[in-house]
Amino acid sequence: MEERTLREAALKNVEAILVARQRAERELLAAKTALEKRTAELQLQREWFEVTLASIGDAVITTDIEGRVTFLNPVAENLTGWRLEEAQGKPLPTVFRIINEDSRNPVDNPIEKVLETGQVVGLANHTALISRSGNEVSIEDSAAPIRDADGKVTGAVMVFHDVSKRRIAERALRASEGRLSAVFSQAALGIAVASLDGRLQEANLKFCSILGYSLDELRQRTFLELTHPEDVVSTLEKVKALREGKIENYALEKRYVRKDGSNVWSSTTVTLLRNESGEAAQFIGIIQDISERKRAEEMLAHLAAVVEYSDDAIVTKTLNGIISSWNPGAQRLFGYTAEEAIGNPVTMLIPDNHLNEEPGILERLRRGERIDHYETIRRRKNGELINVSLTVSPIKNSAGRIVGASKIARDITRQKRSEILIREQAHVLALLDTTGKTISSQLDLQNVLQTVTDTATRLAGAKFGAFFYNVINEEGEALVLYTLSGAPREAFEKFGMPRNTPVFNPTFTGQGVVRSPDITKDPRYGQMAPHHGMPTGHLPVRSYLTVPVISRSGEVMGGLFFGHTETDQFTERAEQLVVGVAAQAAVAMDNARLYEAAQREIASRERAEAALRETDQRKDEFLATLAHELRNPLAPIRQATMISMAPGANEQQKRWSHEVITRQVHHMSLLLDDLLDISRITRGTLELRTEMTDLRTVVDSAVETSRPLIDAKHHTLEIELPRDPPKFAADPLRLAQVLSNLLTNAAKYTDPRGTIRLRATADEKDVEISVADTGVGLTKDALSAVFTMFSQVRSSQDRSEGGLGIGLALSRGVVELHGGTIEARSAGPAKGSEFIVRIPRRIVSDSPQPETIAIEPKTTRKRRVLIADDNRDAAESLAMLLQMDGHTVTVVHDGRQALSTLETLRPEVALLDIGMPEIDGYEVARRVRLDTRIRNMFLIAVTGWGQESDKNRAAAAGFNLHFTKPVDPQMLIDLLGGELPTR
Amino acid sequence: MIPTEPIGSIPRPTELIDAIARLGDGTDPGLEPMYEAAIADTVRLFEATGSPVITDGEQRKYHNFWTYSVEGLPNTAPDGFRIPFAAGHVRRMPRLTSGPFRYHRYADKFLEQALRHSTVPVKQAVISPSALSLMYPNEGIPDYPRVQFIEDLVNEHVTEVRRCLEAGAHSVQIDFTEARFTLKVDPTGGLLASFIDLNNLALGRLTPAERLRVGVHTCPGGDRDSTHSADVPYNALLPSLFQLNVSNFFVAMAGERDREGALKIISEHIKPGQRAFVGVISPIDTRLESPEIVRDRILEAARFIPLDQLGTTDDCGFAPFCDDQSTSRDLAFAKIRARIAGTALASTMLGVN
Repeated sequence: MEERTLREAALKNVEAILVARQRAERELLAAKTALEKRTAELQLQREWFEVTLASIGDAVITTDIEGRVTFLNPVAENLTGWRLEEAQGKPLPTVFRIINEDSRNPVDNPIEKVLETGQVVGLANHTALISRSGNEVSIEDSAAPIRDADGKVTGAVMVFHDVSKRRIAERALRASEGRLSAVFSQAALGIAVASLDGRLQEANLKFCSILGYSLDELRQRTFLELTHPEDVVSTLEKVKALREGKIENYALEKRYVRKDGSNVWSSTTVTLLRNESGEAAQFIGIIQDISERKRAEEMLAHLAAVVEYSDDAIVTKTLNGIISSWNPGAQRLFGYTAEEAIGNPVTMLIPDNHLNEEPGILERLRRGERIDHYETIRRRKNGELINVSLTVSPIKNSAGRIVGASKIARDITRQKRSEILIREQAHVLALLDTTGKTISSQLDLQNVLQTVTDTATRLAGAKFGAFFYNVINEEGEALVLYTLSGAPREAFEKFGMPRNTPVFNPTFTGQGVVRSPDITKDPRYGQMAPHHGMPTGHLPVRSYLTVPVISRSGEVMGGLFFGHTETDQFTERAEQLVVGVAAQAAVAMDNARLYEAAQREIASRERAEAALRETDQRKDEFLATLAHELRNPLAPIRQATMISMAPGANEQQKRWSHEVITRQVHHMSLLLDDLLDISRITRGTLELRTEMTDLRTVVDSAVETSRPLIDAKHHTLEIELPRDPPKFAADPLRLAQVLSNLLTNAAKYTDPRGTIRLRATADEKDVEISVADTGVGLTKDALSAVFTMFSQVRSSQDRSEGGLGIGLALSRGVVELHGGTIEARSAGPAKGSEFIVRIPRRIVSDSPQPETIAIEPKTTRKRRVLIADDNRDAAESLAMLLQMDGHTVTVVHDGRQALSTLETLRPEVALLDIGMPEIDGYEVARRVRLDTRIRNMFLIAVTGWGQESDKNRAAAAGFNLHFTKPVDPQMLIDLLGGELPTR
Repeated sequence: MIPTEPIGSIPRPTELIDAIARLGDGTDPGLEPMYEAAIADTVRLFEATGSPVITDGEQRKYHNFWTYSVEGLPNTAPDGFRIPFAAGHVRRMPRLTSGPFRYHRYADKFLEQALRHSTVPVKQAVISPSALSLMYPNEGIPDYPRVQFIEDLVNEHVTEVRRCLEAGAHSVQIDFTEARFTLKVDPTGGLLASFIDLNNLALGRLTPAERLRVGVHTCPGGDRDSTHSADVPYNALLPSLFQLNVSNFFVAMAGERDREGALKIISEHIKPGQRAFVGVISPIDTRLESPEIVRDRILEAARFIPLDQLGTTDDCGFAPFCDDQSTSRDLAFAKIRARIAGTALASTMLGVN
């Protein structure tokens, strides 16, 4: 059952399969019919292709998939040498043998590659077909696969054709192109091709080189971009005309801008290329670098301008000396126009005495030499001779042959004059320089002025010159000296100094320069007697020049005088030069004077320094002496004091001690008085109390003072006075001091039992008092220094006699204050000395007498006294004295204490030191006078300051009295015991 | 060497068969690793035999060589025609229930997997359209005429063959094992003729180039060491067989009682350009042929068939049905190895290099 069902089913399938098969068969039939139809069509196509293939000019070979030939068309038969029936079925390489034309090597036929790859193989070049007979034919071949309907490659078809002729033509064309390319690239001219929009397409090496761009760079530019901006317009005009067909080409000289920015001139020729249709296609331009030519043209134009506008004469001439060109400068220099000059011999310009120069110049030119800066003389049209500098150069033609000469003539007349002036100036400057050096290097006035005179004479061009100048000698006398140049001194000696004449006056008074071309014609000349002009025998002077020499301070120191025997010899310039020299002379004289003054000052200072040194030395010696002299009294004072204070001292001893102390104190007081006096004299503060003085009184006073020493040495004193001793104005005390000093010295410096003579005389003018002795005398040196401060005759005797050595100095000071003189005389050592005092006799008016203290006789008044002194000893000792006299004394030691004590104690008298701490004596006095309670107190200043000014100051402060220390105790006791004077 | 090729199937690994049976669905994704491993192993072992052409052993044909392409179609029922085997078992075809008929899977999928592992050419076996034509029920299908079914069937078959060729198959082998069976069903030969026509309808749609790579296999239908039509004489089949428009024929011969008679018929009907791969190994014979036996069989065939039209093969696949474990994998590969070796011997003796 199952099986039957299966069979039935299967058989039913058979029907269906049959139906399917039938359909398939129908389809197959239809396909077959279509195939047949298609085959017929293909056959027709095949036949058509075969006909076509047989008709076309190309050779066609087809193969099957194995590469065996299936078809050759007649062209292929002809080229290969094989007939179709022979070739069919054969491998293609058998029929189609090809080699490479260049290498001659066999080449694979393209069908192999087509069958291998199924791709079309394009045209192959350089292939040659070797025919059956061995002929070689250049071919181009290509092959393509033949595919069936499914695209499967079933064979291949190759097409090839004879290109022999074309190959030949191509070779010829390549050769031609090569030549053309070589011409293009190697041309000496720049060639470029541009499109119609101006963009460069091709350019040869020269073009690139001219513009400095590479070809690639040029291709990015248009020719307008390369054109100089100023040439763009002209270029565009030409291009426009070219494109419009108005012109076939154009030539233009224009500039291009190179890559480096520089400009290049070019001669540009542009042609429009047209295509086969006649349409404009491209521009072709040819450029030639004409920069050099342009530069040459510019240079020529420049040179022409140079020649035309040169100030120099530029002339050309033939070798025969005929002028061939003549520039405006030549016309200006020589005066001839070009028409007048050209064609004429150049000798027309040469003075007769210079004609011999020309043959030599021409000869040198013919040798090709160039003549530079030849200075000579030439003649202008008007006959004027001028200095010229010639530069002559040969002119050569293009062959280098000398055909002429060019001359450049420059007027150097002014130059020559300048040279002369310069030489003169140099000479002058040299002279001035020498003079200046001399002046600055020498201080000897005579030498300097001689140099000045000599220089000035030369500069002025004078025959002779002189310098008269003023000097003041050491004696203060004015002298006129002179230096001479160009003439001996003997020529002037006898004439003396120039006098103050109208001619000379301006010079000596410094009014100014006098320059006359002929002095004898000057109206000022000959005005003064006795000569009325130059003295007989004087060197003849016609040209005259004088210049005052004036110092910086304006002083006319002298005058420079110049003369010449010829007239009009002195020029303004000479005057200027001499004025300059005069100024130098003034400087020199000033310098010399200054130098001399400096020298004198130096000498004076040296002397002063020596004197100071000597004074110092004397001062030192004086101080030593002073110390000695002060110590001397101190010793006995000390001893006497000790004796007086000794417990065992008796009254006699005490009395003796007091006498010693008193005496020594008096001695010290005298020493101090002398010191104070000499100090006042030195400072000029010593004041004389001049009054009409009786000579006899003065002498007596002096004798009295010096009598102890005279008697002690047993000298004989002789006094000689006028019968009627005169009265004269003098300070009697001081004068007596002087005489006392002289007598003391005489006594001191005379051996015992000598003779001292005082003699006084008087006449109308002077009173003369001399003191002579028979003592030790004085040496010359001692005489010159005897009145010097601190001077003592240096001997053991001097020392033993004591003293400060200031007595004579003090005496001189006093005498000189009187207006008198004092001198010392001595015949020498041991020959005694004489001192002479002369006092002028003057009448003094009744002048107020100096205030004197009227000391009332002693009374027994006892007072309350305040002593204020910071020197305790001084204060206490004075207090003790007053107390011993019965006064009540209070002692304080400073100003403040003084004031308070005065207020509280209110003493009757106050003795106040000035120099106190806290408040000085002056202030105490002032305050006392302001205090109503004590303003009337009697105040006495007790101070070591004893000048008149000190006394005035004390009085101004309110002191009643001023005592100079050491106060005379007795005087003070007497004052306090009596009535106190009123203020 | 004389060309030699396998038929196709190789016994599946036991674990694969068990897994399929356990899951009950050969398409379970869980089986993919086992399939992959089975294919890789089969390819390895195949290549180890020295086979110049191998198959994937049809390891993925989880059902059988016949119905692999339609297993799982929704428009089928499992109650199609039965194919009885001499051993007494039956294999049942699916029944088409509605149109249109389309394959559920194409054999190129199997090929792709094998090609990943192989280093030698791989051939792919496909079922003939004639075999699948038995799916259309006897009573017909409403709105789906038989003619349309046949048309669809032919299209599907051609599609499968092309897919396999395009996938890289060395060749496609059309299993036409029902050929001998048709004579059993229809001794008049009408059915056979219709099957020949049906198959030629399909083959006619292939290009000549494609047909050069297509072969046809016929055998008495081996399954579990049994056949369904070994009793049908070859002389009724072979003349019609060589009408098929293919180049290669894989003809079971080792199990034939009258090999010389069959070989003689082959020699009389084989056309130029066709090659007969005669079976020199019997897959259902549990005995391992020696290379010498194979050699002798080849030499025997060579007395009838020109050497340029002679090839060797196995009479059939070693496990056309997936669950066939009558032959072990080892034995199958041993037999294949013997075939290769015997073919080599014969080639040497016959001077075929």
